[in-house]
Amino acid sequence: MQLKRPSPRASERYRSALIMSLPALIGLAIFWFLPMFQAINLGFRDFNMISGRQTWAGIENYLTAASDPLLRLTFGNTILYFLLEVPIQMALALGLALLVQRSLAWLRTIILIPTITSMVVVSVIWGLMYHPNSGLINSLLQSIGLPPQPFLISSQQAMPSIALLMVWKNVGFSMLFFLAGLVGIPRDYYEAAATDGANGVQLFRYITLPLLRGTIVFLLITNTVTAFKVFTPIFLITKGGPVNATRVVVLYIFENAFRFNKMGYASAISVLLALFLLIVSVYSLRTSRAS
Amino acid sequence: MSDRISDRLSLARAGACALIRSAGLILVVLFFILPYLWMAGSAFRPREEIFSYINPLSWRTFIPVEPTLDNFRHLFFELNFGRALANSLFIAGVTVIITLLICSMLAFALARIDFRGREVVFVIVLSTILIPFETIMVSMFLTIQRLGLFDTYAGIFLPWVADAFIIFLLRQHFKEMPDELQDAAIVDGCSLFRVYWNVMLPNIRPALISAAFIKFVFSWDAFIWPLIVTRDPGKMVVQLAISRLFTDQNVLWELIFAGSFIGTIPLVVLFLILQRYYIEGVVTSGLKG
Repeated sequence: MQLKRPSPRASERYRSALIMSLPALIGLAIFWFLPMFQAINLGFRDFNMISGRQTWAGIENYLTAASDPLLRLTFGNTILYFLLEVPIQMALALGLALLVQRSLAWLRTIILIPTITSMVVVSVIWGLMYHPNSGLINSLLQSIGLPPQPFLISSQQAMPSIALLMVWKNVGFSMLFFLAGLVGIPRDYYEAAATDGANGVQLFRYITLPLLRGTIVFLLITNTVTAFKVFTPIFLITKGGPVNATRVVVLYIFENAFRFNKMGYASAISVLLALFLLIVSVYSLRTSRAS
Repeated sequence: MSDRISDRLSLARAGACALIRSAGLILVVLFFILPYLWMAGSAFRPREEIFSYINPLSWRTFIPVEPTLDNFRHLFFELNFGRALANSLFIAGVTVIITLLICSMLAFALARIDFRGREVVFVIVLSTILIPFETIMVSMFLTIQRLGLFDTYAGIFLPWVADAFIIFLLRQHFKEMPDELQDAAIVDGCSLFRVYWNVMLPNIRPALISAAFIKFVFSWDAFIWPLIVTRDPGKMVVQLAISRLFTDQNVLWELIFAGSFIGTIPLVVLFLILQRYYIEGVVTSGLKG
């Protein structure tokens, strides 16, 4: 018979648990759940920040959202950004993880520094690097004989440019998780397969990739959600331009709330974005579990 | 005889591989370091020189020909950058302390106190991770306004201190503590709070350092929220100050480099020292999650 563990009386347990949990729970309630419900509520209203007046508007904001060409444009832009940034970032992260995994700890550190650098500094410095005349990147291109590019001034190159700088910043984060995932793969698998005559590519395809599935799914979901929240580099260096090429959803929310004084509409878009991200996450989890 | 040739071929191939690998390595390193080198070099450049050596590429592109501390002098004495630094430091410090306190308490309760509904509470806490900040920033702004905390320091850091990720991280570590520690303390007559404060906390110090650093980085690097919630220039944080330099009417490029330098270097130094904690904190939470 197992000895029962010493445990304080139920009343003390519940009282301690309550007191210790309360501050954080209150914080979560006020600053996460309340704003969430507030956003849903506000989505059904017209809110004028200047006058403070709220009027019930039913689903009008959502109807507007459904037929708003600018919203559709921003959503399209955000999807384009997502398609550019996430695959490249994850592929690069995996490659770097494979490169760094056994030695080269110093390289891992270097790759991680952008990850802890603030979004403001990253945006500002890259914004300057992309300058058509005085920027470092064009200078580098010209030094190897390539023509200078317009980058942020061109409506075709602007979004890929933003995607590149975000890849640069985020790849360290994904690499960390790939590194941890790689550690979990026993060397014996590789050795056994190698003695059976498998080459490097086959080892990667049939051992590494499948065993990294959990990591890949986790990173896919995390990076997708992060991609749809992109804001700061665009806010600081392209401001949605040129010609709306980089106007993304969160920028549109921000402008509606704090510039156009349409907080109700901004909230409605926020709710739609949150729902979209929730669906994407749940769907990804489901499909990854099924197969 | 053919053995020797194939030996030589594989040697040559190995040599070529090593060369490609080294070249690739250099490219990777440059890709990640060059922006910092350019930023650091330009931070010490006088205004006249700021973009003069960008083309054609030379060592002068990265190293100032006439280095100067004028940019930093300007930032600190004329633009009150020191104030912004102090603000960021203060807010980050307060954030870390309060976060660690209240999140570790909740984490302890969730990990080591037996009460009904414990798992439900944990799931509810975790669910907040699904809510992206950008989707509630508008209503968070209104909430802060209604609480009378607009344009206050508290308005900046209060929304940050209840952090589901930190709670999750610390709960993991509390759970991993051996039961005997707690049992012995209880038998000795410790209240649960004493168990938490005197027994458990000291034993998860690495996790606390991880959490502290992760939260510090988050607070120091934050931009959108301080942008929304403050108006008083005296309350500007470093990131806001740097962004102002960039979006100003009269842009002074050399100051942008210097400001970015100041905004980044302390954190990089801290990271070099504490990187192990940062990595472990981020990765172990994600893996077990």
